[in-house]
Amino acid sequence: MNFYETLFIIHPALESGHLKDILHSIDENLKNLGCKTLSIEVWGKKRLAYLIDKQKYGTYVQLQFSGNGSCTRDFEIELQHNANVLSYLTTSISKAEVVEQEHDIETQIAGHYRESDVAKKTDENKIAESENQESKNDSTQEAITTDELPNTEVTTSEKDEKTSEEETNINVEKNNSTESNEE
Amino acid sequence: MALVSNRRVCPFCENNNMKINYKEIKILKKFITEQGKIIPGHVTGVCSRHQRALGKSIKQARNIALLPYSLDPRYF
Repeated sequence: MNFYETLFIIHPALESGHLKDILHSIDENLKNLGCKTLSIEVWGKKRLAYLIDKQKYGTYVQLQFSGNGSCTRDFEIELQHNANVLSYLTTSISKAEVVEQEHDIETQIAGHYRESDVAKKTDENKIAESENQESKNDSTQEAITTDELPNTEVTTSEKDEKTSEEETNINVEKNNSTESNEE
Repeated sequence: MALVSNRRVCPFCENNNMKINYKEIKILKKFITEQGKIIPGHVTGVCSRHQRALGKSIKQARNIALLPYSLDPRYF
């Protein structure tokens, strides 16, 4: 029993539902050939280093399986005949290199399509951070202005005192006038 | 006068955590030129044993379109 790893590229036009069906069909084919699938990992849509079938992008899928040497040949023939598979590469690996599959295919595909949302979220976080920084700057500016405020308060208090003095003067004058009228 | 050797040590022999694999493109990209050619070992300081493994893994990565076969440097 040997361990193998196949990395293949699926057509970028295929999305969640179709991608899942194709992966399940490939998995079933492997089982029919007498191999045992150990893990399937969806890398997601990536830019290709060169055009394959006039396609710039492709969905990379890593499949690890164990079986006899003859089953890899049959599996490669099936991948060749599959029109949705752009390219593939099978390598033999040691048992230590076998990765345990953490999530199901569906969640992986869903997670792959959430990457864009994650990117958006990170952008939003960046925007929020920048806004926070701006608000912090504003608060520091306000603190600076508040440092200057006591002088203004003093002036206002002085003004208040002045106004109160004036009011008292006016009241005194009024009182005087009323007194004169009474007389 | 102390003897100072200018001989470089192979980065893969020095650091055991760096593993040569066709999937680790970040490491492989350090050992190819802008045109996509494999840089010879006597330039990078990689020992002959690891240079053979590097060449193999770079060719595997090219086959699965993780690395380019050739690039025109005029378009950089």
